[in-house]
Amino acid sequence: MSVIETRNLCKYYGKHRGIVDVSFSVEEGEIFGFIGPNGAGKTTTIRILLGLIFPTSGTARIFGKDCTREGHEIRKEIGYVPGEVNYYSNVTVDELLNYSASFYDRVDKKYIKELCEIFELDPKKKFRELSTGNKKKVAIVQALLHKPKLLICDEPTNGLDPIMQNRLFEIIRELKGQGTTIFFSSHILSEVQKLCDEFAMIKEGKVVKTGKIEQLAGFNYKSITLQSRQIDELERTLKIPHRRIDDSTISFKYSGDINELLKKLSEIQIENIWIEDPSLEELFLSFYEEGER
Amino acid sequence: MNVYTWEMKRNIKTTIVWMVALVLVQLMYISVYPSMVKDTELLTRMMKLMPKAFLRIFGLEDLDFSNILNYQASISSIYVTLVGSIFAVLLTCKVLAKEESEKTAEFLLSKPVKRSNVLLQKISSTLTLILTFDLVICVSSLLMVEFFKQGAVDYTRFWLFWLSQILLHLTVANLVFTIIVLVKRQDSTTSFSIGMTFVLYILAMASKLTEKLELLKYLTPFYYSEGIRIVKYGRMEPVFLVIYFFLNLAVVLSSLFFYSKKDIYL
Repeated sequence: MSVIETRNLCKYYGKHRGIVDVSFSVEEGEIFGFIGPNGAGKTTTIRILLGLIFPTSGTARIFGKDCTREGHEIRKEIGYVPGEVNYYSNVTVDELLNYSASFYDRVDKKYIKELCEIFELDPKKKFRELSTGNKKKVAIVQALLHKPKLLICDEPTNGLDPIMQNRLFEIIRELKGQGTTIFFSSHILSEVQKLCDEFAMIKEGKVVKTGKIEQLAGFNYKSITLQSRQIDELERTLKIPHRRIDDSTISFKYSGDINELLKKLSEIQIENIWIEDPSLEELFLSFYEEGER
Repeated sequence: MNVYTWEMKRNIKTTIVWMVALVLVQLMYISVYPSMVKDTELLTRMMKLMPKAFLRIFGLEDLDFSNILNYQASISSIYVTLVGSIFAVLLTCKVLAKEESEKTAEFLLSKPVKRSNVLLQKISSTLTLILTFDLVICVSSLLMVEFFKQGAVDYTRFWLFWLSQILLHLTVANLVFTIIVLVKRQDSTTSFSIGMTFVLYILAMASKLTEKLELLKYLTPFYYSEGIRIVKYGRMEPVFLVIYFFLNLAVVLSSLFFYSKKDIYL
């Protein structure tokens, strides 16, 4: 049985589209990446799963139960990390976590303390005094404290520094080891590639592609842009297809050995260089092209 | 019960501030009563000089100020009836509308509780706080009447007056709960609800102005609970009690029903 299963899920806000015909399923124990640009409908989908809004048509089931009718039962086993953390501003972290814990049956107080220590949270601080990153950490702790079977994260790394991001990934992997299912929404491709087993890609309210994460491996290239007066020389040595040259700037996609590239680059005089992960937009374009063919 | 306790803790301070303020206002007004009662005759003559319509809409016609209850009811028509209702509006908005406008509903409603359960707990805590508020000012006013009275006091009238005020405040809160549930976004619910309260208050006055407008009285709880009339005649019309009962039943049930189906926009 799938942990999450949506079938032709649609949500319209009046005439505006939220999501259209979203169907995917998440199996037990996997980390499922839900990837798409801003405004694609990731949060809308998550809010339907949580029962905050109700679908215009289609169904969403979690643990085999209907999200609209049995939401309160489902939510016993769900932890939710929101994309944007908005909690009661004039309470302390401690009070908030206790309030959160009071909704569940068996909560281990020691575990809350442990989580606070892992994320270096000061439980005596008022929520409003916290920075964006620290607010996010509170959200993560309140989502984990009842040891849910399904963790739903909406852009959880937003606002976290790299150290905390890694700590979060470690925890997510650890949870996966314990059999927890994780639904991980993000607009950062590399993040999803690093962490997830399966993925669904959403754009403009529609799921464009679903599959195993390995299918994204072809997108392991880097977008490289560099400025140099010796561009001609570089062209001769590198022989890259699909390059774009603009005055003294050259941009190309590189998927070979990065060390080799760097060795070659060191031979010429470079004024400026950008090495970037491919953008989501590029990824979607290639999927569209694939679909048309 | 956890939502109930949470709301009680979060709102008890505001309630106490309102209680203290109202007790002080009452004390201020009632402490001038003994000096006023000495000049009742002068006061009655002065009242006769005022326009009839004015006296009528404020319920001051043929009001005998030598009875402390009459005096207290006329003062309370603003400081308990109206201000108490405003308190009920603000409290209700803080308990429910704020949850959506400050987006904390995302936290609360992703917890394993039914919507109807959340709302029922929020309604209960709000009503408890309003009841506490009313009981405290009721008891303080009892003490003040005891202390400042100048003759015998009919306590049935006193209790009837307070019953009518409590019913009014609870009803206002329940009405505002329904408004919040029915409104999609909470940007202006508070001001809208306060506006509605004033309109209802004015309707009650208008209904006393001419016979043509008399039917308006059925549209506003401020008429059902008009303190001066209740103290003057020593009774609250059963028809209003019946309306109160069904009105509250209807608004609470529809709040619960629609809240369970509501899309929470954040």
